[in-house]
Amino acid sequence: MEIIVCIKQVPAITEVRIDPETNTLVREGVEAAINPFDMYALEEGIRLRERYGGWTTVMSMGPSQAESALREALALGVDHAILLSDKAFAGADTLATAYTLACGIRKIGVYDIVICGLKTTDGDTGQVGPGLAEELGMPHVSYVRRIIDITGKTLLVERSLEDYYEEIEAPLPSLITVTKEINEPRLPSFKGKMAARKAPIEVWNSNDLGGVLDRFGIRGSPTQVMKVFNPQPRLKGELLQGNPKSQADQLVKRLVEKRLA
Amino acid sequence: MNYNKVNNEVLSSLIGFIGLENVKTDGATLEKYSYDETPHGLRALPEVVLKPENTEQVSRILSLAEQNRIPVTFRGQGTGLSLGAVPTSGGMLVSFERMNRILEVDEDNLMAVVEAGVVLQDLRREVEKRGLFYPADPGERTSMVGGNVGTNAGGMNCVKYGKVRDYVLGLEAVLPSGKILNLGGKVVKRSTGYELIHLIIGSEGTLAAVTKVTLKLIKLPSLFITLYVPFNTLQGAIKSVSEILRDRITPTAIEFVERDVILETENRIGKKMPNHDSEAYLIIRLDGDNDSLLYDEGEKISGVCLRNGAVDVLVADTKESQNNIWDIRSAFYEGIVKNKDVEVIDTAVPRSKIPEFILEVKNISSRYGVRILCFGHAGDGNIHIHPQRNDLSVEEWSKKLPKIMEEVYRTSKAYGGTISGEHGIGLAKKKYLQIGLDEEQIRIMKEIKKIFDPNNILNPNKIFDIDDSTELVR
Amino acid sequence: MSNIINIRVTTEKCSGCGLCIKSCPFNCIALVDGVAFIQESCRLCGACVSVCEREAIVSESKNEKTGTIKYSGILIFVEQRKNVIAPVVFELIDKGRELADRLGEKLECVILGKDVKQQAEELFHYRVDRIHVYDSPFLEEFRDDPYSELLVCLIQEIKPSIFLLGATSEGRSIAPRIATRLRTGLTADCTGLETDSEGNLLQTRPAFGGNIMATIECRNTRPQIATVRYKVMKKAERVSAYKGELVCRDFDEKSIRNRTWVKKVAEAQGKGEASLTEANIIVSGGKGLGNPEGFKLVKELADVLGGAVGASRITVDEGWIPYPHQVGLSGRTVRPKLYIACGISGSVQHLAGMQTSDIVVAINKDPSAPIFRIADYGIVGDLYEVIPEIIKLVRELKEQK
Repeated sequence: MEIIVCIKQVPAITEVRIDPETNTLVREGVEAAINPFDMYALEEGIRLRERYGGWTTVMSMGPSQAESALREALALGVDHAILLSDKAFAGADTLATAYTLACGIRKIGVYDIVICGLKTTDGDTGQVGPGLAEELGMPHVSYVRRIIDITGKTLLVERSLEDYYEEIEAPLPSLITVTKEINEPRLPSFKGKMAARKAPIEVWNSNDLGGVLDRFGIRGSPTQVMKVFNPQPRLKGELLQGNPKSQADQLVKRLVEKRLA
Repeated sequence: MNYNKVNNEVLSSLIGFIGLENVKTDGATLEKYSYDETPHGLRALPEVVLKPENTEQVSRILSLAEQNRIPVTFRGQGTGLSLGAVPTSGGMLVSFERMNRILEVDEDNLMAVVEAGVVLQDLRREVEKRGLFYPADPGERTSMVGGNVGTNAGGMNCVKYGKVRDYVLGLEAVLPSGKILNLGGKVVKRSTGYELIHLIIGSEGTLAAVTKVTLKLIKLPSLFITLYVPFNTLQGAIKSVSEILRDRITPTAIEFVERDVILETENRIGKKMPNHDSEAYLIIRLDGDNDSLLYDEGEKISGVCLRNGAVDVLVADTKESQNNIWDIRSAFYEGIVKNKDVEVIDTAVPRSKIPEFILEVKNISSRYGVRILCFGHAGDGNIHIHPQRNDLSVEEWSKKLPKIMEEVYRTSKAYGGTISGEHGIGLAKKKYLQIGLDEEQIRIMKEIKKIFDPNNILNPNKIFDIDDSTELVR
Repeated sequence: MSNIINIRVTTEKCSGCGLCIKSCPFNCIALVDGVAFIQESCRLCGACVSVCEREAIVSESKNEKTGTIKYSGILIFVEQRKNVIAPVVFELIDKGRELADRLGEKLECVILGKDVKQQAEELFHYRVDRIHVYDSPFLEEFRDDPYSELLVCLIQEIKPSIFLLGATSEGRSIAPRIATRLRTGLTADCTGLETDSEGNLLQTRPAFGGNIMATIECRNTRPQIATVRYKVMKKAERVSAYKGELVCRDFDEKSIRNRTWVKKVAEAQGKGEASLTEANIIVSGGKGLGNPEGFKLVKELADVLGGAVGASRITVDEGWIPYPHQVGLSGRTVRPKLYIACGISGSVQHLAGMQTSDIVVAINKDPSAPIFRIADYGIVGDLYEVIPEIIKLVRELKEQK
């Protein structure tokens, strides 16, 4: 089975804190890491290979620093890593990103399943996975919480929608986006880590990909960020004083006033 | 020993010193300050709980206690494991919770001056912001600096960085007379008379009240990695430790643990280790500033472990994955002790003797038919040994336990070890003191106690009885 | 400001005042030799251009507006399950009506499903001009392929300038397929929709877990597609009569691609248990509960208030409560009328999932917990002492009634 996992390097969100005085993000010393949701995608990609044999490839689009994310994936046990990196890819929105990844995956040629994380923690759109499936002309199943089975050319998965679960059957090749329920990501072995430190990372630029230059990066992105601003801070709240009984009393009174209790 | 009670006159003086809101006599508060974290430990109510805010107030409290002959017990966060902060003689309990200011982080001299009630994790966070590191790391990170000084706490990083004693350069301490001693200071070297600082460190609040501490800091290493190594045999894990150290590699920490400890901790706190299917584990942290040197060391360690039967060597290099492992590690004690009948034995032996020592402990375990779980700081020889009652009847347990403890202590002694590595003697281990120390040493200690505290009001009956009222196991 | 493709500094004009450095949300401007230097990591947001007092920072834009003229009207995807229309739809309709009136265009809806005509007609009461109905047993269950395929066909035919979907699981699953097929822009999870002077849609959405807001435009392609967060916008009011047009659309099932099949459906939550995203009241528990048992108390409070139970990430990671309860960046985004955070410190990630709630109540021992910064009512205290008192008082209130 040929498995492709797409990942993104993001600022490690667990590190993101707000400066209480200026109410802005504290960015000093923020590490870059594999998008947390992609860790589940990687783990599932490796488990599928362990279960069904084959080859797991990880692909990422990003600047050359994203190599470290790919090395991390190699250390975990992925067989092959490809970085799509080119100045022409910069400024891509989800449409251009999906297109670029699709060009990369088409260049690989053979694949049975493509796995993406549910969304990234920086962009938080969850759009690249389904968009990529559309670009590749394959079906997708989003919010997959369990791969039940893969038999012959069929994939059976459980997806988690708003308030219910569905068992979905899809043909191969398909793309799935996975939630954190699907597995517990492993730690890399030291041996894998050492090998990954030295492993070559294949880098493909826009020439390597072929494709239409106008569809990459900022030129291929129909959406533009016009303005970025801090959200309006909430009004200062009220600290309810007194002993627990009196605190509860004050709270319930206020909730009754607001017709909430 | 005859002590006086805290009467109304004393109370009103105390209120005058520190204010009504910091003098507590209500039942709920007294109850809250009547115990520490020693499993099934003794509880004893103080007569009053005092929360002074500064050294001056501590001084006035102590001289009042001295004049009235009222016992005083000092308390940090109450995370001790040998009943050291339990007010067994009643009297006053002085909690340092309000003396929690980090007074100075001196970046020129690489030192910090803190009040005794500063919580360890707050101190670490504060100095790490400045690229500095306070490496003494007892598993309990909510403990207070003052308590750490009282027991000469050690913890995980001793293998490379040593224990609390190695970081205390200055102390401010208050004697029962109310006199304030300023010991040491910001000098790194000193050869000027007896080093009283080191008498007070580890004295468990029996000599003086520690109010301020000047601590040495070091540069914060820029890189940390953690190796998590499953083994199919305990012996393989232990043997690897001696080989690693013999190979001249000095990790920040080398911890070993048996599977059952991990499983019980996971159940207790709900987090999962990366692997829990093997018999025993080593958890090794390396630090440094050079990435490739660090991984070279890791490779050597990995080689040693695999030669000794490690199933695999896993590596955590992100903050999150490392924190996960060390958070669970910090909860081992909680995992196996909470809601169970367990004893905590805190022996330390020379590192090269750990394999034989643990084998011996396991022999004791099977001889008595009592399950004994072990984990500890393999890198420094400090092994925590936990006999569990499980299905034994309480009667049988209370018969067997003292014998097991005595045997473990004697075994430790025989291997050149000690009866407490880092928890202290307090009340809980008092009767075994003479297994660890000879009579002459204990005699000198008692004389020292008399000089500091002639009326024996400071944490009386801890470590030893001044009047030999407890029968010692000899 | 328009479609920026490059930003540069005119170094002769730059005074090195540093205003731009502070303005850059991506931290990619530095002072080099006393003048501003824009680093490679620039995301071309343009924040620095407008703050520069000396007009030393200039942006270059592309200007190739083509083919957007033919598009007109606002189309709304009416999500339904088991013939119940998703509540977010009524908010989309209200916003859609407002935009349509402002632009002088039509408001249209599209509904897909089995026996959904009645639901479709009901929508006229919300001042919808035209409703497209795809009614077929084939569409009974939501499936990405046929749903997105039919919507693409419809959009190609009626050419709306704006297409809105709820930012629900379904909406977020099909919207990217549709946008990709139409090669147009899609903005996820919008919390604000306005129009600029040229009639372009200004789409505002939170980024970085709500710590930054970004306004996004899609100027040169149509339709402009957005998924919109539930409970952010006003619900449309029902009017007694509105004259609209119902268009039943036939299609040939065989020509519609479908590759995935729903084999089984299971409800995630027990009957009677309020669902998190729909709930008007949420009581959430965090690490401060101390142990998994604490959720019993949280549940009890939620029950007396008629609310749902939420949780912080750490409690879910520790296995105290299942994932569907998780509120926050890696869980669900909620916007109830009342959010009671019990023993939750309020990490950036958690706040991202709930800080737009109408009223936030925080109960926590630690007065410095960040949750208090966004709480309308804060109670510093032991939740095990406070919550039972609240439960008691609410019960008494109920009995009085």
